[in-house]
Amino acid sequence: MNDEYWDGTVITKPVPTPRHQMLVGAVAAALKAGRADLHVLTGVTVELTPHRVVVPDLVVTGPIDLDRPVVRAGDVRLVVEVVTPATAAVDTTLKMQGYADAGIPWYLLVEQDSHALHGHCLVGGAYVERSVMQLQSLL
Amino acid sequence: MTISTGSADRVELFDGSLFLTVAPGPRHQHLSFELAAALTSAARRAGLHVREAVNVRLCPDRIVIPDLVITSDIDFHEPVVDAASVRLVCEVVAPHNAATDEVLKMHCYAAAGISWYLLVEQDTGTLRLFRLDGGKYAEHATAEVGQVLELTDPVRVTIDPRYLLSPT
Repeated sequence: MNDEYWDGTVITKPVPTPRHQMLVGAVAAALKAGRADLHVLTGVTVELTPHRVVVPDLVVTGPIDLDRPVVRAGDVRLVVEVVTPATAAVDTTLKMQGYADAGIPWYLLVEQDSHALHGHCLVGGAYVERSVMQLQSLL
Repeated sequence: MTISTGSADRVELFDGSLFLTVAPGPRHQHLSFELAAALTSAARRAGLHVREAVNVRLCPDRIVIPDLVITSDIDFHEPVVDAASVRLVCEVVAPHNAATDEVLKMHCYAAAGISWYLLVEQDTGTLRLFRLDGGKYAEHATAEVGQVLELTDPVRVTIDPRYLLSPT
């Protein structure tokens, strides 16, 4: 199930399109290239707080128990969401604040249409955009 | 496609994602009702309507159920109210789920061009009124218990937070 839980609300996300999944795969491949000590995981459940359980498009974690069904936010080094301009509101407002509240150090937003990557770094409890680049430059 | 919403009372749509929320509790509903009562005659004088918990279409992929709206004339047979008819939107904010109202809905109501956004804190009765300015909401006025909120647009009324709070 792709359902998420957010402060008492159940969020049922639509099944992703092939284009969305292709981009998630491309980002995962690019991220896997460098660091064998980190896990690059798509479609896993992450517990931000006991009341906020989400399924980001992709996360990069440090060493974790791979058989534990829920990843703890504290183990997540980077979270990635692929967004379209028309559907970005949840990822760029609610999720952005929730990931920051959970202390995840990096948030990468990937624009599905332009392939632009917006890297946000956690500074003093909020994300600050630190880099913008093209996906092609990673591949 | 059939979607089972289980015991959820409010189903909202944000960009293709369904948000399913159980029915609000009595404290929340007391406040929402008292606020509607406080606004109703002023709205009637202005030729407007006060409605609680109706479907509002912000854009084709965003259909929400605000706690309260003040609208211009609408077709009462239409199950969904268009955002263009909404003059003021209000959410009663419970501490455990404030983020949806203060972050996501704040963004989406502004994007839909709704001129006024009123947030009421469920536990304290504090009122925070935001006015749309350049595509974003800016805080226009606030009132805690012991103060009053003077609303001039879209309706002219004075709201006293004391009378919104439930007895316990």
